[in-house]
Amino acid sequence: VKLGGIGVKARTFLFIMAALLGLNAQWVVAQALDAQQEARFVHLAGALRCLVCQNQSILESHADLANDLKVQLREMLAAGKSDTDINDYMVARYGDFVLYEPPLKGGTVVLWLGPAVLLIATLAGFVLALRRRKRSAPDPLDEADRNVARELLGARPQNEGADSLK
Amino acid sequence: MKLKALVPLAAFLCLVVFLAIGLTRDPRELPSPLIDKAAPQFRLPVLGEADRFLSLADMRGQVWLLNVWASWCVACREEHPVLVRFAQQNVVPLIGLNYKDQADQAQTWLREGGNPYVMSVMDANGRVGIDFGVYGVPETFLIDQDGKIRHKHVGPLTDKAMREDLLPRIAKLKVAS
Repeated sequence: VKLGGIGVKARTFLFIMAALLGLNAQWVVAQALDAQQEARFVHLAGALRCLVCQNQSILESHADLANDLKVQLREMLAAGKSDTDINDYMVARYGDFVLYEPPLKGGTVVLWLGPAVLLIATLAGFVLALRRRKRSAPDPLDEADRNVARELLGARPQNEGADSLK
Repeated sequence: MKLKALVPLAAFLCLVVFLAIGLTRDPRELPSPLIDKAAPQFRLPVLGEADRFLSLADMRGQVWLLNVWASWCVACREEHPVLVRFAQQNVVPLIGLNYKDQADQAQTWLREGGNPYVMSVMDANGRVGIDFGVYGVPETFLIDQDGKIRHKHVGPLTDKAMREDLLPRIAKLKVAS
């Protein structure tokens, strides 16, 4: 079917392309950055948690707030702010939770050292258990034990039954 | 020996208790770093009144509530009647922060559901919202006479939360003045 000179498929294609361009428009208005700033943007945005979705960084998230924070981040980078400035800005508003890598301090000591402490404790427990097992290995049988065992095994021929006891 | 056998059980019960406590907590409720700090400065246009602005300094000297709302916010619809009832009690001024909204839609909302706010200010691009650390509308901030944020409620306020949480806090702040 031809409509106005171009095929339906071509029109659909053009429509989709136009729609995609529309989507991209929000990036066009975003602050332009040089290559180095762009790399820092990706790095920083990837380390900031989106507070609406909580399990995505603001780089990955398309939540409204994440987009606003990305715009803010770009503006701060363009204004020459340092990484510390930017992280401080975010933490002042949203708390340490906004950082995927929370700073080491009173409240986060367990978070940072907990896994290491657990690993060491587990390994130590494992080694201790192994040692104890070795120490408590059953005493070799003496002749009296063997005689009792033979008696219990009863009718079996001596060499067969005793084999496993040696 | 017998006691030793109970160690794994005890450890398991410990884990269960911690996980059970974890289940009762709302992961969306994050501690705000702004509590007991000076509220961020702002100067925003008042909704429905051309050329009129409100800034933080204008509210100095009184305890007040800042409620972040928007006409596109579904949970705000649930909260709105609670705010209307609160406003009727005339306890403290309630200021609205109309967050990333269209003025005409916001005004329609207030016409339809009643206007509990002394006034609402328009944060069209959400910058003031970011300064206040807003991440889930509706949010409500309790601000004291010195312009310090004393409490933050995330999510829709209920009559119960008003009665048992916010009103006692307000009363305490008013006594302190």
